[in-house]
Amino acid sequence: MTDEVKTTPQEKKRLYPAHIFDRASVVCPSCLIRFKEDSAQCPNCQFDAHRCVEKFPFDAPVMQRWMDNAKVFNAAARSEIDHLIERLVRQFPQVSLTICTVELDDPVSLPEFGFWMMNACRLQEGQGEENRAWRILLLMDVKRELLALTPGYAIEAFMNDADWQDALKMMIPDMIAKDYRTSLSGFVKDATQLLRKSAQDVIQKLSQK
Amino acid sequence: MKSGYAIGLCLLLFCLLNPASTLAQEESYDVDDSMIPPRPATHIFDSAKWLNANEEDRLEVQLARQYDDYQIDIYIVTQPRHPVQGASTYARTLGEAWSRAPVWCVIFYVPGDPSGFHAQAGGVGLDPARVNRAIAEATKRAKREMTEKDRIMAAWSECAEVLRFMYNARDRNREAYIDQRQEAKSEAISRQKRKKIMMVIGAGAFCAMFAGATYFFTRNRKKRCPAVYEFPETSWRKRYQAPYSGGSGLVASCRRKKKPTAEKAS
Repeated sequence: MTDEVKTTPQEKKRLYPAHIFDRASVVCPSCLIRFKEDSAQCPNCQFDAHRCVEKFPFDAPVMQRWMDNAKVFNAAARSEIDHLIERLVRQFPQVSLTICTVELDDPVSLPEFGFWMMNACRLQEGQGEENRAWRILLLMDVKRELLALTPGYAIEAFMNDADWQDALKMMIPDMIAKDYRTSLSGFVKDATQLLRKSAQDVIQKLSQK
Repeated sequence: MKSGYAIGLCLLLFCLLNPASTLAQEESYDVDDSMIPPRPATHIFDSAKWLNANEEDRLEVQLARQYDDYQIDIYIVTQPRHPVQGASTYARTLGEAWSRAPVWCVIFYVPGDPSGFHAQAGGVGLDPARVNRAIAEATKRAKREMTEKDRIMAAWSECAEVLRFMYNARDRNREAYIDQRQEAKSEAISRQKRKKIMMVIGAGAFCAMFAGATYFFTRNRKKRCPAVYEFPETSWRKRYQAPYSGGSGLVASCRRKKKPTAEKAS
């Protein structure tokens, strides 16, 4: 007997409000101020998607698992990390991960760049909009040694900011040592653990209802 | 002349020896004891005519009372001669053949026998060795009397008392045994009941503990994440007019903060 998919069809169809799970507040990717209410524009800096597109007037690429623009991962490293990501995807089939390495210059805000990528990048062939909302984008700016994480609307409800922030911080020592392979593999393992923890919390919360 | 003398001597010897041989034959085969006589109508079988009518009547009354009151069948048997199988064996054979009660006793006497009377007894459920010992003791006590008749009177009386005691003791033993058995049985039943009650209580306690433990663990322990898990759908918090993601503030920098320079510090 396998203990596969725990959620019943009713639970799947049912829409739960996002705030009952981990993510209670929203953060503006531009000014990084936290708000409780959703809005079409940031109340602080008037940031929105249109402004963002104006900031990055490029032709957005197709979003896929590997977007190694900085060329820091060789085939062996990719294979090793692919193996870990496959394991994550096997357990959480809705979730997907994109690793994007860039070399950006200083005025560019990495969270803003992540926001732009998540919304502007074209869908991969065979993928729907739903897939994008379950995706987590990890941006690694190897030039400025910055890391940013941007989740889609669907998965963000199950991501605790503090835990994922810690996961990013755990990457720093290897990033400083330019060991991107170890840094990323550690992050994927942490991500799997965090998703597992979130799943347990969700099961607990749903069973108490 | 010689032959006539010899014939005469033979006749004389025959005359002399014939009565002696007959007497010897009579002594060695007193009566035909292979045939057990049928039980007499009374408790006295006085074939030796040793008792007179008054004694016989008086004795019969007493022995009949023993039979009626205590179920002890006592016979006084006299014979003019010793039986072939011996007095004791014969007396026992008679007792076993005649007895109508659970306990019997035969006092056998050959008048003029210097060894006196012989007593034999037995009973259903009585230990023969113990009975023999008790009868021997009773006989011994009876033989202290002066005359043979008094001895026999004392003998049946003593034997009756001893047998009555033994039979009642056996009854008492049996009752005690039955009581003991019943007590043991009831104790075993109560022990079984106790065991069952304990088992039921134990099972109940175990179930309660198990239910409590299950409740405790399911309440407090987080459920294990399944091997494959799908998160439930949530209503998206769309913001900043973005279709798929509202961005986040999750940023980490690998750069160490620059220490303030000496100039700035001053």
